[in-house]
Amino acid sequence: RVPRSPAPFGPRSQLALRKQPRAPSGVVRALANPEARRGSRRERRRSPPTRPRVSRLTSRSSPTSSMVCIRPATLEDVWEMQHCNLMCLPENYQMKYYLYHSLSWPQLLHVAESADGKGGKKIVGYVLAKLDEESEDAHGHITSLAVLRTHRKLGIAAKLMRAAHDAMCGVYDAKYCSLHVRVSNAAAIHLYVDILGYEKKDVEKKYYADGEDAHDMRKTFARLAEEAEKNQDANVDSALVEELKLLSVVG
Amino acid sequence: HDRAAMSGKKADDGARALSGKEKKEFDNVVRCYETKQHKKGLKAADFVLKKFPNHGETLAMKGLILSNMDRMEEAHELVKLGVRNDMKSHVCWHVYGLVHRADRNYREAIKCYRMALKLHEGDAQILRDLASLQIQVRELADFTETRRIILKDRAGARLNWMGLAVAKFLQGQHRAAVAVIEKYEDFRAEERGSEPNLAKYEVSEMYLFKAMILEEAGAHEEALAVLDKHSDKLVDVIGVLEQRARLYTALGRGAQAEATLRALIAKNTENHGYYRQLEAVLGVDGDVAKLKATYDALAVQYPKSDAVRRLPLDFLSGDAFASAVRRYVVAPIRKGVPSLFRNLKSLYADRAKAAAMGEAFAEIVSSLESSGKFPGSEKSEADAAQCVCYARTLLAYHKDKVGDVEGALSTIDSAIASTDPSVLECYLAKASFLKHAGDVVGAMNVANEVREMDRADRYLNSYCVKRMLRAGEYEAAEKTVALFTRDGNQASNLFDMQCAWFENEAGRCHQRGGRKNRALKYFTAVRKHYDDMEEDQFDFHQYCLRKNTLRHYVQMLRVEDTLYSRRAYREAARGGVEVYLDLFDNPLPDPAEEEEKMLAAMSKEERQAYRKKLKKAEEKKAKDDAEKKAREEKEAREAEKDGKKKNQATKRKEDPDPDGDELLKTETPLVEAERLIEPLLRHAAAFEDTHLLAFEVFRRKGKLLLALRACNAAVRCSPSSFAARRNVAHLAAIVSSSDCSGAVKTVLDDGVKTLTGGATAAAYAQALVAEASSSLEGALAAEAVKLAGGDAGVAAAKVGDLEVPRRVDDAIAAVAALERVGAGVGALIAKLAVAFPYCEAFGGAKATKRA
Repeated sequence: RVPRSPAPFGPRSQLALRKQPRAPSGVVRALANPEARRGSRRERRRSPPTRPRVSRLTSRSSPTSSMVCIRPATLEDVWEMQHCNLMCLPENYQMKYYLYHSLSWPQLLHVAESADGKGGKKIVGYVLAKLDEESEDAHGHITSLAVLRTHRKLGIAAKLMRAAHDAMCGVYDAKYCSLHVRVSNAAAIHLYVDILGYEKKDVEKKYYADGEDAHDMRKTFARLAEEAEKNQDANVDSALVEELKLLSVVG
Repeated sequence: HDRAAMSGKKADDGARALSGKEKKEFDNVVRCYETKQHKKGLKAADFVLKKFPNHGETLAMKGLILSNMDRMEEAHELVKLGVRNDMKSHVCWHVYGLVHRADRNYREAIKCYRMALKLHEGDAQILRDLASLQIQVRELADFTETRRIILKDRAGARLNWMGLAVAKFLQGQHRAAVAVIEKYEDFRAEERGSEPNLAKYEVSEMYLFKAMILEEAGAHEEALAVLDKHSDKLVDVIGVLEQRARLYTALGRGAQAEATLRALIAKNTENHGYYRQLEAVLGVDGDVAKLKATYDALAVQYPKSDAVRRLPLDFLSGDAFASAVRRYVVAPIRKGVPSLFRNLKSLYADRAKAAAMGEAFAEIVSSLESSGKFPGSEKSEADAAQCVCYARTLLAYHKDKVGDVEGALSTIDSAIASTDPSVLECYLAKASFLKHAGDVVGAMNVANEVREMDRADRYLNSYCVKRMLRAGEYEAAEKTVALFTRDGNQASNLFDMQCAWFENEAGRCHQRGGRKNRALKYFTAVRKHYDDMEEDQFDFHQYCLRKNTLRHYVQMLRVEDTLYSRRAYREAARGGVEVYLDLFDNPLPDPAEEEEKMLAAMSKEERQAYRKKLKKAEEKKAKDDAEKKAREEKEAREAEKDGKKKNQATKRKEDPDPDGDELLKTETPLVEAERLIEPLLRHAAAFEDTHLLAFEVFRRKGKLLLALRACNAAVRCSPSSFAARRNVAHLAAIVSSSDCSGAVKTVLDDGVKTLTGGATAAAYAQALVAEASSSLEGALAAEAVKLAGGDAGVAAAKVGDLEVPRRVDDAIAAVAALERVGAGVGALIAKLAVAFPYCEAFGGAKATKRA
């Protein structure tokens, strides 16, 4: 029999057991995929942890105005997402890992784009998210979230997160979204808990490479739906609601 | 056995059909390979080879496993031997293909796969692998054919239908692609009597792929019909609305387009693209009154949206603009938004707007300073100090933008002083002003100061590292950047994480410092990343068919087709080519000759001392090597002891050439340069730089036809570019004195004549001199005169009298060009030192001195 490439999908028997295809090879789990849940704790510690992190988010600032364009990411954007990540976060990933996200759950990735002052555009923030399809209840997970320091105080992180949440439940029927955050990262915890409605589920001891613990957080989406409705009520006038209804009848 | 008999003269054990224990072990080899149990696999292979040392398939498999263990040379040898011993085995050929593929030698791999298929027609695994290779090298016709065969053999699987649809689509056969998808729909309907039994998401993506194909084919009505027909199955709500908006617009169905875009805006008030499309649909493009009315209405609807307040600044003018911009900046100043200026920067293209903003910002600052209120406001600000700080910062940015260095620096200093503790972002602003003024050391110092204020912030670290590298302080930079890399091993971690911005900055820093080896090392690293990113596609060819993310898969292929036009690669290629050209023009001295020369100049005692020293160094090195080897062996033994289970955390191979010394020793710098140019010509032909570099390489290689092509392309990219036209003058001179003849000569002469309009090289260059208005243009024109064989002295002497460039980088480029000419440098620098008093490169009086 002809040998099959060892990666990405392994022997057929194994493949048959899986409903979803596996990550392509070279997406070295230990190195690039911090949430490889099968990994031993030891392995996990070695791996770069997810560290959604938004600092200096003062409680005063409300995540309202934004001077940047928030939009779904395209394949074109992943290079700039990597650059943005390398500029501001200590946990980094190879390009293939971004491609893997983008080609697996394309609707979940979002970017914040701003003029670069040279006539072009520049990615100043992103959310990299995934769907955990292997567990029983499909749920989303935030792999990485970053906003350049130069573009803070605009509520970009919250907007990116909300966009990812919307796509998680709208497109993929996810029941909840999980993430890990350093216990010391007060600003990010504030964002997740107070603004976005996450709840602390658990503490993962020594989750991070440097030995720091992580909060395992979760946001269930039932509440998100209510929130969206509330937002819509506030934002959309009645004529537009009619238009929307019309549209959803059409398609 | 008959197989053995078939293979003729190698009838020994090369092609024997295994049986019994050996057969079992061989299957084990294959299994081990598939599960990446390399060591076990080798053992099993050796077991078979012990009895049948020439067994082709086992040899090939062993080679394949070695190739996965990064032992490529042995791998190739074994696989070749395997193929030779069993030419009729499709397994051997397939393995040979796999090894070529591991080497990224896709075209050779395709040949091997074809051989394998000839020997074993219809093998599904080989066909799939072949298809991946064909799409990887974009052999679209062959890819389609392979996909067709795969589908014919296995029509039951959805992904095989989609594979053919993708292939047809990529070939530009949109209709055929749609037909394939529709056939699949019918097929499934017959088979199951109902909808395809797929996950919701996959169904949705299938229909959306179909709609995408139709849209790209220009069949807008049909695309819309697909969206309508399957509306209850489409889960990508945003994607569908966006496509609907495009389709309605294309079909001229304004009302529906408008409603759709408004629905999208309701979902995301900050996507600027939606507003731009809405403007177009409403036909208010250019009609300021209508535009304003539209945005005013939107502002009522979405009072919290930034976009609806910011976008009108683009089309408003005069008093309307002035009052709008005044209103606009209040909230961000109050809140302390650091990116406020960046958001307004694009408005500076309009001089009147720039002036209006300057006035407005100054007024806001003085009002806040004197009364703690915004102009015209009754309300005292709660945090007046912060308001003053951000207003001053905004004004400082304005002054920097309009070229008032002194004003910018004094204003930002006052902003820093206005709060306690100071706002860190003010320091970043100050550093950027100093950078613009050319004070690289000052910028570095400020960046380092602010980095120290928040050492946990990687952005501040990265920014500081960049400033250090620009200032040439590479040792400090390398130390600083390592603070954020795991294990503090910056070289390997930054490389592993493909940190191209750092590598390019570091490469340029070393290049400027004349450390060509280290520059090459960094530029080569970026090249490697991009080659890896090109390879990255490979696994997704199959993966995306399974996932059915076809729209995005096609996007990926398109993006990969312009991969090497990304800025990071262009910068690395430029740096690398420049260093290789430098190496070609100024070859390194032969070390043996150098030594001889040095020895000849020494006294007898000196010679003895020198030899002694050499001998000692050699001994020390031998000792170190032996120790290192012993240490490694010991580690390996211990690792073995630790048990097999331990995930072979493959120990990092030490970089045999950490400083790029080996790269520097190349005997063929032009070949290396050409290797860097090649992907640029493929992907980045729209950039002038590509062709400027190509010209320099090809003319040195004497490939004049290619040099002509590069000249033509550069002029096409930017017809008024002085650099491009300098090359034209150069080429004209080369061609007029070249000794080629015949058809080549005719083509060259005609080509040059078209470019120069029939003028001689010298006359063409003189025309450039007459045209030049800035010192950069003048310097390039003077260089053209020299390259055309004339005396550039007069032209060079005049450069200092021309207009000084606004940007320091252009001024530095002008000096570099004059240095190549070898005249007029001093006069120009004296002029520039006055124009850029903060610029270290020109010895400006106010430049910060190095510690």
